[in-house]
Amino acid sequence: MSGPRSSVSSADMSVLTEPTASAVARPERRRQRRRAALQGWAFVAPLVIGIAVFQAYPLLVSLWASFHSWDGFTTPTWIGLDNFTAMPADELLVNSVKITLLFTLGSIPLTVVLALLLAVLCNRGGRISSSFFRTAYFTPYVTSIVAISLVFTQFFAPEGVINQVLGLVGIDGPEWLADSTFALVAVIVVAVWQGVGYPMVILLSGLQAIPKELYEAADVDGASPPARFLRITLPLLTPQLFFVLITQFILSFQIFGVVFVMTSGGPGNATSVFIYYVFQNAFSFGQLGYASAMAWAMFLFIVALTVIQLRLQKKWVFYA
Amino acid sequence: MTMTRISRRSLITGLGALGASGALAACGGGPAGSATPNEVSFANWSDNFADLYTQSLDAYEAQSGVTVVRQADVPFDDYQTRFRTLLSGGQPPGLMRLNDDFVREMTDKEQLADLGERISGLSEEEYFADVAAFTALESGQGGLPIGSSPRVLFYNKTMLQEAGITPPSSWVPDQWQWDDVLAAAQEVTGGDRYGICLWTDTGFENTFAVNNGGPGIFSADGTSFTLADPAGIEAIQWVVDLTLKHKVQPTWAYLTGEDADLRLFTAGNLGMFFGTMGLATYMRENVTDFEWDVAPMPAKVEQRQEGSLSVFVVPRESADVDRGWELLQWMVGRESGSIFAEAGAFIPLHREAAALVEKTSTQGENMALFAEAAGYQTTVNSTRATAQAVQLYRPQLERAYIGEISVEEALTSVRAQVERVIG
Repeated sequence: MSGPRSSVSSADMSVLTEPTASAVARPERRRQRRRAALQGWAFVAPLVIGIAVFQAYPLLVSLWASFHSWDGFTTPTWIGLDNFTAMPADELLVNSVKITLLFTLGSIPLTVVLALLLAVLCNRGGRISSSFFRTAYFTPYVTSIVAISLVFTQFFAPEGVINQVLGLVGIDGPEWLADSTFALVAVIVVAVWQGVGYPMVILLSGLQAIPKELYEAADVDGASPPARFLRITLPLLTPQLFFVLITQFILSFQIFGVVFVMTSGGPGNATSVFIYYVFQNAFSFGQLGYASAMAWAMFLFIVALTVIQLRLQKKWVFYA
Repeated sequence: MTMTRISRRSLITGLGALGASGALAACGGGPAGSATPNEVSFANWSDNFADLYTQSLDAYEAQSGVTVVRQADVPFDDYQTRFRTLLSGGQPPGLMRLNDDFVREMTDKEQLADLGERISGLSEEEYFADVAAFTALESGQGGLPIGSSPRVLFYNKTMLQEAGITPPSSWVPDQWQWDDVLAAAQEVTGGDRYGICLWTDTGFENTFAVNNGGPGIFSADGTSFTLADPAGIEAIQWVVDLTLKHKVQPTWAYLTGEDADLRLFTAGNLGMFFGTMGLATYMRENVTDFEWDVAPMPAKVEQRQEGSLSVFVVPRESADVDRGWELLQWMVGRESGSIFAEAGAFIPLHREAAALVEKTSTQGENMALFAEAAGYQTTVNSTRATAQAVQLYRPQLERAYIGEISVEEALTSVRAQVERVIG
């Protein structure tokens, strides 16, 4: 029989019948890849298991609980959307949303403006002074909110430091934490003081990334300092400002520690913010299902507002 | 012998796997609720008498040979949420403390072992049966109060004597009415001094409402918010007026400071204040510049006091209900009760032990009054959601305390809400 195959030499046959070096290496490479993959999984396993057990699983349980009437003890009962539909009629919940919005409106502008001011000052200072102030302003952010709140509770006492200082300039200070109007002001002050360090560092990094040449060119053109700030600094800082606004917005809806320690939601329900009310329902009232539903409703609300903010950013955020 | 060389990568892989298995193991059940044959676990909140609990538990261990595994105490406020996780987590301790506000809720939800039959075996001659009856509910009896800390009026004897005032030393109503207390407070108020302080201890709500002729905060069947009845409103308004109208009591804002009333009293700037027996120990240690003593609650229609109960319960899901019951029996018994009575901590459930309280007087103070007060005990009628009810009405009361609204406005505004959750 003649044909192409018959023309193959014996040397060529040996190539076909005996495994080549690369063919020998292939299974070995597969083994190595498998081993590497296993090693990779082993490296990430603690984190993956941690997230699965301590974050994903509780989240799923909470989602499941939100459709049930459940006190944590007795058998949960499926109630569909009842937990969600009951929310608008819950006066205390509506009040807590109002208080949270007031807190947000009060704290975010203060935090952002103060953070920007501090960032600009730190950016202008010398290396040593800048490092010192950066550390000083960032320290409260990494300090226990419980410790901070306890100290400020003393400061805001009727005869505390703040009223004593006000007394020096002839102002008769209010009973901050026992006054329905001023209690929330006190909470905002503490939250801003504690939280301003983080946005300051973010904005400072943004300031330091602005090319110096732009300022030099502006100087040559005779731009005044306010004009330089408004025409160069602020536009080039908008990506960082946008990030700060988004994160501060989310954090403001999660305010809890300061309220828990300083006012317990009082006086009356004047500082009963949303998360504090969720906490009360879950752990004081034993309404885990309802508390879970509230938490998910808040999650959806924050997601919706974040999406809106992301859409709106196209109109004012300038990416160089 | 050959040694296998372990590569760095293998070592790290192994450590990673070890970490992962550690993380998984951490999710497993701990020893909190489990009990080996010779162990019983115990949970409590931290208070001024931690040393006495330690003494009692040590003595139990020595006497029984059973090891009491003691969970770390947490502050009172934290424990009010922690008990829920202890009970619902599936491995509760053998014996645990429970705020008396939650006894009915937890009993109704079948979270506590029913010890009714075992408790009925205790001799009524040996124990204060009416105090023990607090935990006896239709749905069962899951534990017992190991003692009661009666509430009385502590007073600055030196200050009141200088003003020519001698409060009564026994529980006789004709000698000590609400108006007498107000007059005494007005007499000693002036400058930095206040005559009286009643409202930092929330036990005043029930005590004054009952003494004004009402059923207290809740009706006997636990379904009505009777503090919002006229008797309750009038009683609370009387206390609020001590600050807002008569100016003989510090402001609410001032009293929200940590132990503000105690600091004011020990500094010699407060004539009288409402507190539990447990504070006598604090007084002995901290009052050095004047004499102090205790007086009965002032009377109106009634002359009762709401003693604070130290309730311990045996969870139904506990690994060893029998051991929990044995430990509870020890804690309500004579020997353990004597430890608390001799220190003047509270009136133990055991009558013989309770008699020892009188001997704890070290500065001539009238400790016998506490034992007498135990006979005039009133308790808050329990409901199925007391904690939630309190969270609803107390914020409104705070607004009345600072004068934003009247007590009537505060209590009637939340009456329907409160009754919805307890009804």
